[in-house]
Amino acid sequence: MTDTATWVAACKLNELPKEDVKRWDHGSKSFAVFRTADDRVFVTDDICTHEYAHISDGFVMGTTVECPRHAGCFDFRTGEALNPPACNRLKTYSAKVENGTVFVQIG
Amino acid sequence: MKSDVGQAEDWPTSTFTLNDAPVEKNLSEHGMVIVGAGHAGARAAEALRKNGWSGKLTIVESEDAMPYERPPLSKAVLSGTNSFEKYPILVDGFFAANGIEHIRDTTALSIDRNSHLIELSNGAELPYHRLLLAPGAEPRRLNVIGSDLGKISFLRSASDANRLASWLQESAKVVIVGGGLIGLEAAASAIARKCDVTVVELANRLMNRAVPEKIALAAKLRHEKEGVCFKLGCAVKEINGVNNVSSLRLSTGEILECDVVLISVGVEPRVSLAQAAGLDIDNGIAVDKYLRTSDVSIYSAGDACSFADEASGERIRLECWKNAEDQAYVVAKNMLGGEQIYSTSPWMWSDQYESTIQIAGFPARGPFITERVCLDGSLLLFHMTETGHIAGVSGFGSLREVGRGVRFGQLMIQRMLTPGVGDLCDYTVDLRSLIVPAVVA
Repeated sequence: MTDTATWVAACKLNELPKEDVKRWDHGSKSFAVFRTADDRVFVTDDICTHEYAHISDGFVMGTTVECPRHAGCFDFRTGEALNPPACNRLKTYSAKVENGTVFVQIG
Repeated sequence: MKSDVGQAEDWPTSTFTLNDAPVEKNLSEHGMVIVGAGHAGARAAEALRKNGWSGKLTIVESEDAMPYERPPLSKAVLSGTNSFEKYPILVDGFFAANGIEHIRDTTALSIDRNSHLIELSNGAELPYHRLLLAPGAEPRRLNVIGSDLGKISFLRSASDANRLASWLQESAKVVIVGGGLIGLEAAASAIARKCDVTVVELANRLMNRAVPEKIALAAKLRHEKEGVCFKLGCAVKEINGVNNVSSLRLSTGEILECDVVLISVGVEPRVSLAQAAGLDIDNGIAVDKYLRTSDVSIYSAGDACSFADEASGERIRLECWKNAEDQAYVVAKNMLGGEQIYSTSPWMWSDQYESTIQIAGFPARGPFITERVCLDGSLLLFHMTETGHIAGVSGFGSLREVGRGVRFGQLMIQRMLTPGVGDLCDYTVDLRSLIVPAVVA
């Protein structure tokens, strides 16, 4: 994390259902923005590290997301790949909520 | 003989724990032997190490390649998007780093069950303490005149996929015999390569064995939109050509001109090694609920393994990624002395064009079908029993709707829920809301 990294507004928190994920496109990249049942917010890359699929189309349960294509699971808090066929970690980004808006730190 | 073997001191033995598996150390010098480094075999090797087996471990494979994922062969590899090496089952260097001897390009010829020895095609004899047979399956042949002509292929191995991919030139006339999942995935890949594609299928519908009719119909329409021509209810009577194939004659008398033929009419389990060793064979290598064959020292997993289905009692085989994956973990535990019962939770996918088919559970056991058409047109079918439980769920359409819908369906199956038909078919009702009460309970 660097001081020069910028916080960018991604979406309103109330647009994001609890225990769910939403896609956010910024520049040429897609990000997956997660909201847990207890209202914490996490952000990862949106493209599965196994084969091309949007993680934001996946299935959220607790703090894991399952890729909709081949059911590879990730812990979206850390990006860790939890089961085959996923084996490489998803990149994660810092996120925060201010005045009802989700901000993502992009380095 | 090629062998990838690491030094014993390379393995991180300190991280291995003998959790619930009482390992019989006095036999450990014989080691564990796995025949077949396909999905089940490779994953079982990994699981044996992770479950604490630090003794000798050897995996024998007739192909000359590192273990690779097969699902991409009919898709990314055939369409030319990626090579099969991009899809390894294990991380690079896994065998060497974990002291697993990988004997490739070598076939297991026979098993001497009394002496616990396997005879290999390289002349070596390999002693085993426990043996896992994961030989997989091989393509069913088409017994018609001309089926040995050039430019006719099966699609099972990476070399099959590479050979076939090299034939799929633009405008090539490609005939696919067999309208099952592999045939249709190959059809989509051939269309991506701008080939002219015809699919010949003996049954009157596509994907007869694995996919509910309505899903199959939706997929057929999608293929027709891309220009695929279907000949249903037709058998191939004869294949003609000089060196290479040039035409097929169908049971209707029709002659189909072609440059390339793919035969994808299913697979047969490889049972010859087990059969010659006197193991019970019944629709595959017969195993008990612990995946043990009729010899207590020999186990089986993957496409060749036939197990008793809990509901019907019939011996079934599941030729899919998920089954190979799940059985590998169970069999590894049991080879180490565990008593884990294998219980199936079938799930499969097929990607055709940008659409996906997913099926979970046992749709055939749910005669009452509730249909949900999602906002983007994706189709989800909930196959329900008389008691209102979900026996299976299937879908065709976008990854988002089908992936999520099938996953929610799986939860309903696992939790034995009886959701209301009105809610299931109404796309405005969030499927998550139908499983929440069980979470609370």
